[in-house]
Amino acid sequence: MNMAQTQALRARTLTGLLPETDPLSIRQALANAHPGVSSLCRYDQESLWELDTRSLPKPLAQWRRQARDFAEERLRPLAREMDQARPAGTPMPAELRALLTDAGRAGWLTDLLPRPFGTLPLTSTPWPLTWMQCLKVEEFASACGGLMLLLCAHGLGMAPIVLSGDVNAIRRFVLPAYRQNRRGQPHLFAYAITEPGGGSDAEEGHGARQYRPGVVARKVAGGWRLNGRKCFISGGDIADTLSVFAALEGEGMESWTCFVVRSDMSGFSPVRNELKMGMKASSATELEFDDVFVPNHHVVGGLRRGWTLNRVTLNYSRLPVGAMGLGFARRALEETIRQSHELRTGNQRLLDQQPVQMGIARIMASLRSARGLVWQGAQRFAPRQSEAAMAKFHASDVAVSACEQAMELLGPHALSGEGVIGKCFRDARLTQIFEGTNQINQLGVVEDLQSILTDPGQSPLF
Amino acid sequence: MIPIGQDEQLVTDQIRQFARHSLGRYRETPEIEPGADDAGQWIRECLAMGLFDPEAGGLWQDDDPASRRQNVLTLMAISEQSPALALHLHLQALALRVMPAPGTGKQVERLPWLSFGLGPGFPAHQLANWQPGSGARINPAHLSDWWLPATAGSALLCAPDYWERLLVPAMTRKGAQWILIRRADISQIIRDSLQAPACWSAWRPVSIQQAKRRLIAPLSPDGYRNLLGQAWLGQLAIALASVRHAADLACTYADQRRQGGSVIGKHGAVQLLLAELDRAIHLTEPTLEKLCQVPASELWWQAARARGDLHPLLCRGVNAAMQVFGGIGYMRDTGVESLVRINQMLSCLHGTPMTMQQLHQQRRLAA
Repeated sequence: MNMAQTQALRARTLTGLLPETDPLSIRQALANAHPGVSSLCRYDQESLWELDTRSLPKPLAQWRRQARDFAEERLRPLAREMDQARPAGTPMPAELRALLTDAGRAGWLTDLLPRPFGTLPLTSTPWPLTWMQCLKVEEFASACGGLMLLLCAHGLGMAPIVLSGDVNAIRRFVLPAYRQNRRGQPHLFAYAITEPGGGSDAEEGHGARQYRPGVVARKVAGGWRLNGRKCFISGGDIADTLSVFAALEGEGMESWTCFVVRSDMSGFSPVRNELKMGMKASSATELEFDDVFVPNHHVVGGLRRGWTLNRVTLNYSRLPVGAMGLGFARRALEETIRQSHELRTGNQRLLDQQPVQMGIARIMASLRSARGLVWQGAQRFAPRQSEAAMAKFHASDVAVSACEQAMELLGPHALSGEGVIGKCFRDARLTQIFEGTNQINQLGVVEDLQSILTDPGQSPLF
Repeated sequence: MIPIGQDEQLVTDQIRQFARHSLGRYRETPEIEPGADDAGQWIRECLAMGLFDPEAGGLWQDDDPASRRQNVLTLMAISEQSPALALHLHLQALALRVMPAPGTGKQVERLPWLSFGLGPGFPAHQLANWQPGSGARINPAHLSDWWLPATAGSALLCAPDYWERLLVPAMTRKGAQWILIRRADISQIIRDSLQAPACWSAWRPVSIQQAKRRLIAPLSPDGYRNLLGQAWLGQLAIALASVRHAADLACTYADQRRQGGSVIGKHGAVQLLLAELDRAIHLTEPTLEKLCQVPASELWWQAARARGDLHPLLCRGVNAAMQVFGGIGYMRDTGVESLVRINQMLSCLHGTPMTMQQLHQQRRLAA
């Protein structure tokens, strides 16, 4: 072995571990073993991401790779620059518009429906839509949380219309927007449920029972007049179309109805964008409805069907929120590994230190366990509330914990430099809150399994 | 709660008044972030109050238990309004202990800041291992010139935005020294946000090789340990006060916000979150009180142990406060999210909890 080879081998060998050429190293041992023995275990150097991708059905694996390529090429370079709040009413930065245009042309804004209506590959139809969305969201989140939300909040806004099965509504609202997006003219949707007086009340039944709705629809000739305010609406400042949930006048949350509101309707206005901790590329907007006239044919799925639609949509959207957590945890892990290569203590790389190695292993394990939970839930065509909620709160906890561990391993370096881990932490923190706080999601598991939990005689229960 | 004597209360009230008056408006208008000029003005006001005056018993000028307690209370009073400013003052006061500057008190620009700025071979989270006498060794290659940032991007100085002169520990051929570097002498600086509010930044000098460095004093093992102990004690006090503040905000919110027909404070889920906050505070307060009493020679390792144990709890506590707020906690309006950010920074600045725990164990084994 010449000098260069020796140095290369040394660079590949961590302190405390044997070089791969050592006879006692497992790789060297297996290389000399009988093929029957060496086929019993794997020690190849394939990345775990690649391993997971290859375990997916072929169309999904291809989708995941495409999402990663787009995220690396278009999202990651913009991540730092776009990580800043944008006051409501200001024009969208040219870079964001260009990103949306490219995303539309590439089919990332039209992937709730299969071809020829949307851009979901026909070969993927044997697998659930949620799984596809989870794969995409993880890749986008690992590049930039804010830009991921900018692109994916659009899908959430469109989801109640698609999930309603209301063909007329799909034809009237979704398909024209799809065509625009494919032409490179971004047409975004937003999902508006949260109100200043009730965040969690819109997420669970017990709270909704007591809640007095803040946005109310009054019947008038030919349609409805909407009054009230919604808050924290992702992408609400740039959306062209919004799925707005409102109660009928004089009734409670059981009358919730989904209305399609166009941003150019008279009386509608984005009032302010919040100053958020993270995911700043996508605004959280307060919306005002001042006697907004909505025609009858803008009602989605029928009157008083909004509560159901909302709950169904949340079941579909909580799994992708879990996938966001996977993306953040993964990015924090990758950055920790990268920086622990570069940073040295004395003459040692950080990566050579046992506590750092163990920390990295712990993040890997929790990331992969969370991914298992998200993918398991996402493999059902009709996601279960308990599974979606578990995936959401567990994966988001894992994401925040991974970022905290990364900070602990790298110290202030984690918070400076490109600010990647600090940004991951700020972005990941939102996943513990939106789509129902993690506490609400934990109670959501119990709500779903109420009858099982109150009848423990059934065996086995889980 | 740390008991406060009458005299201490008097001083603390003065500080509190300053903090409320000067910093309060940033609470009320979260869209405005304080800039370097504001910070300079605050420091001037602190000077006027004698906060750095050695003769008036300024911050960290004495290290007897009573003074230590007073320092902790002062930092906590400021931290309730602005943990970032408390950290500024804390490190500035420590710098003045190393490099007394009588007579320069009126010139803010001339005051040095202490930065445990680090170069290749010493990532910040390993700082604590750079204890004279600890197990850590420095690669002699890094001593060939000044042990100071030599490689672009590998060095990190954590300091307020407006620093002019930094007092930095450095390793030279002659041994460990305190040296002073001037911002004006560093040819290029890359500034990074540390994600902490109120103009705290990381500075990556691209080239510091040509900068003039003034030797200030040799760095003695005992003196350095003691300084580290004070730095860590102050850091823990600042974190505690910020978490107490978060607890006040969360409790008030839990008592007002209604969900499911009742105030959220009555919900078991919220009570558990508040318990997490309470646990962090409840465990930190007596430890801080105890740290004020320990002999000077023991402060550094006792403070290391306390930081290793308690910073993670405090971070969890302030995270729980944010969770109580739900969506609005993520927005700047409530003031909780900035406490979350700065607690993360306080937790990993000048040695992470993991490093603190290792350091404590190294000391035990050595003993």
